[in-house]
Amino acid sequence: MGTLWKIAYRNVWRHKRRTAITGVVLCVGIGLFIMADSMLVGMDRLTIDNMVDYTESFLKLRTPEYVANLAGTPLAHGIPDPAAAAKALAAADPRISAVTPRTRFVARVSNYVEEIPVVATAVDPERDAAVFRIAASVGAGRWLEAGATRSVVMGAALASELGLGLGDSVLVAANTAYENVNADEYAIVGLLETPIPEINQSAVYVSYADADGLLGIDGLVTELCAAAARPPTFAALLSGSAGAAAAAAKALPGLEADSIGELAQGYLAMRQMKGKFSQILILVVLLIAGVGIVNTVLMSVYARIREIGVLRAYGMRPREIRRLFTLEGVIVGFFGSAAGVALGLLLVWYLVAVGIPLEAFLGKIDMGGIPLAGTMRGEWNLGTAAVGLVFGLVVSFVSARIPAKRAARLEVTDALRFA
Amino acid sequence: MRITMLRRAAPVFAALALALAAGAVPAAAQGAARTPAGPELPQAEELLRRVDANQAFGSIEYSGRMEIASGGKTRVKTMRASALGDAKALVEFTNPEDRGVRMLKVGKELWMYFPKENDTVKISGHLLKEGMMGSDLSYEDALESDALLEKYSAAVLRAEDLEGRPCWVVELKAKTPTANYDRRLVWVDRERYVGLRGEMYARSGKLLKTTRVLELSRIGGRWFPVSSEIESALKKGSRTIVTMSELKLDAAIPASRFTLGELTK
Repeated sequence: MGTLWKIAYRNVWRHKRRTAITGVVLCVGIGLFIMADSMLVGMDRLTIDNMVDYTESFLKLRTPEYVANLAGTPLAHGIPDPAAAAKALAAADPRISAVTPRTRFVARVSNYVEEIPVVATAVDPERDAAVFRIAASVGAGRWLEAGATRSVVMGAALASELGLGLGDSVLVAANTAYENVNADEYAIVGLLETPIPEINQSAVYVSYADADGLLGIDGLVTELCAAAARPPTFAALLSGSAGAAAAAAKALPGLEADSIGELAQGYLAMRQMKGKFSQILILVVLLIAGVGIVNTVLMSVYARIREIGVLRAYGMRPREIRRLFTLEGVIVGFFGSAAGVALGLLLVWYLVAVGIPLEAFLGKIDMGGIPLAGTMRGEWNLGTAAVGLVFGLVVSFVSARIPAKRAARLEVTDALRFA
Repeated sequence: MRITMLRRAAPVFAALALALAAGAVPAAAQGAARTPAGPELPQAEELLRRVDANQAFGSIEYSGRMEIASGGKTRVKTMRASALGDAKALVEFTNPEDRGVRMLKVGKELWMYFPKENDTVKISGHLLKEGMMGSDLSYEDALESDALLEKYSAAVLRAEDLEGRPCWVVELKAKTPTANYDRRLVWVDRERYVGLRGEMYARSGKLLKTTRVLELSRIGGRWFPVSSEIESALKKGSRTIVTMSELKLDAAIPASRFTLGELTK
């Protein structure tokens, strides 16, 4: 066996070009497989991160009645004693770092000529900035100030559609808490440029002071949103949020605490469906790699049939020849797969450390309501790297074994005459 | 005495617009007063009772035409409408795009029937705030009835000429925050006792809508508004003109016409 290993090892390096082709195919195939897996998880992470940072938060606390009527965005079913509830929520779980109140309402913004329906949000400017990244996404102007009333911050694209700019007045009309219409003019003090197209195109933020004046809500808070430090992985984010929501529900009975997993239910359900597609995608990547490996190994064996004849003529037994070629395949497979894993991990490192700015690659495209925008970063998955390595070895072994078996069965004379 | 008659002149569409112009009837009225250099102001209650008498009917049937101007475009919708008082009304659209679409109002409930989809939809929630068939008239305006009138208090503010007609300017102030509008002004023709113009204001003091009677017709010894304009103050160039023709008042209409079964027939 030791001699066979030596011969196999020498043969691998003797046929440099063939070995290089096989190794590169393996390396690229497995490298892409590892990167594709990291990207798919990264896409999910980016989507959920954007939901956490811009729309949903780490977890939300609402009344069950409000959740039951969520579609109508009612100015009713508010959280009783929201200040006390916010304190209790902040103390409910050590993961929760900040809490802010929000009240969403349906409004129409207008320049007196064009009228656009929007979902507006009443916020506490200072506390909101500690939970969401909206305040940090003001591209022009400034974020809301608690004391400065009659002002709004709105999506830059929304303002542009209305032909309005910073400092202009926008007419905001909405149904009040008493189910009648109120309207007033507000100065645009900030324009938002977030990675979420929906916010840029149709979001309006006002302070609670202004919302009280417009809607007559008298401090009604329909949701309390919580923030937490960014967990290292997608799985940790989902489980951490679920744990914190369970603790919040226990601390605040009668209120409904929803984790990001529940808030992003629609997306996660779609992700499950997408998961099958992703598996197929990865399988296709592996199949392409597998076909490439099989092809190059087969060619290397068939190109050496006459060599097999010579070996047989020197007295090498068919079983030894079969083992020799299988060993050659496994050696190439090992080095190719190892290089593939190294390449994959390098690509993943780049994805994790630098990421891919989606807008630079794809432009401003509509993702159909999915907040997949910004810089997509990959996630580490050593399990996938191990799968890639084993796959490369198995495919190399199988693809070398079959032709080697056939070649070993040839008569010496036939093998020597093989062209 | 509580006046309830005025709102009977509100069979969903056209008459509603006219009723908006006429203004709602308050439960409380202000006593007589005198402007500094003008005629003695009448009691709001008495004034509105006379306006109400002009527009009251047991039943109404008419052909309606609604011109909706918005965003530089004008759409025309035509309809046949009938109503029993202000409680029951049925409207069927006859213009090509909406032919067969029907609306049924029974009390404070409103349904729409779409023949192409063979579907009946109850208009409720936020939909009530939307413009009816894209007009400046909301579904909620159509549903407003005299029960809501308890939400306003009225006062005659002054005498004023409006387009050559001597008018009383009546102010209606919401007594409750649930009233559709926080404040309304109505210009009532001092001789014909018809509301000629109306202004509706939001809680912020912002003018939301104006209504204006464009044409009056003398029917059976009384003046009846047959064409009016509703204009949104929040959207320039957005206005709806509602016109009634082939108008019949107090004709015999069977109550069975105003049922869900009839709506989908």
